[in-house]
Amino acid sequence: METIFTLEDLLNYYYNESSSKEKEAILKALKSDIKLKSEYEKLSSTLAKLSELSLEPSESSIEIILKSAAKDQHPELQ
Amino acid sequence: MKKTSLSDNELILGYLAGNDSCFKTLLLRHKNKVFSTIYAVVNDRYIAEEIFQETFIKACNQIRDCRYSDDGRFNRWIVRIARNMSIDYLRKAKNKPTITDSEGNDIFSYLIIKQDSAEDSIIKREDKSNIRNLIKLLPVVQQEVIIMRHYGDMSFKEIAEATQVSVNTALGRMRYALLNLRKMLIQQEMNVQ
Repeated sequence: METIFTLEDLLNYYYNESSSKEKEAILKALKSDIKLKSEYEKLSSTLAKLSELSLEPSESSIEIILKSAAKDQHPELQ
Repeated sequence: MKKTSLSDNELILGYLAGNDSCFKTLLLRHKNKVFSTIYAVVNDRYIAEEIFQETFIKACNQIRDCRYSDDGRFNRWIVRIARNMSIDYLRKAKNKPTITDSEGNDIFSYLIIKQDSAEDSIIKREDKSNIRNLIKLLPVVQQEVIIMRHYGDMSFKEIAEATQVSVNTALGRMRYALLNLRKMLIQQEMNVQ
């Protein structure tokens, strides 16, 4: 079967941004289209590599912001 | 009602009514999007932390001064503040006068080298892949979309809004970023073998 989905479609699917109709069509195609399945596996493995890293603000930054928010809200505490 | 089920606007009203924990919920809900937006621009963890703090403190001040008005789209509003502050930072950094040593070398370059080395050592210590370094090798617009989509959990529509491009452009950039990353990973594996 000929692949009709692009890498952009697969990206939307991976990140759960496809419409339910597209999602259903891609899911069906992945079961029968070997080329598409292989493309999706390559995409997933690259994205899995990205997941080895996490990019979040530190706890100390969160604390600094919360302290500032509370201090400004309750100036009597200063 | 649980705070986590409240809308952003309800949390803002709660904070204005004196409930600090509403602000905490708002912060925890949006922290990754905001942080990744900043990191995507400045590409430096230490600077990103500083701008992240400034962004939320500024947002907090504007909320308390009743200067928040973005038709209930807090997410879009705070991402815009974060991005503008990051771009301002880069602009100011670019305009800083150069201080040279006796041999005419920019002393700021030493600091940058030191910073990169420190970051590299952290990556090694954590025994993670050097994916962070590979991302840094991508064109800036591709780094930006990867960081915002994958680490900031922003939708392609949100990324398009934040970076002022179409959704198709954001998707296309992500596509090329992943193709480039894949090539680099394959090349790296070949080098190891």
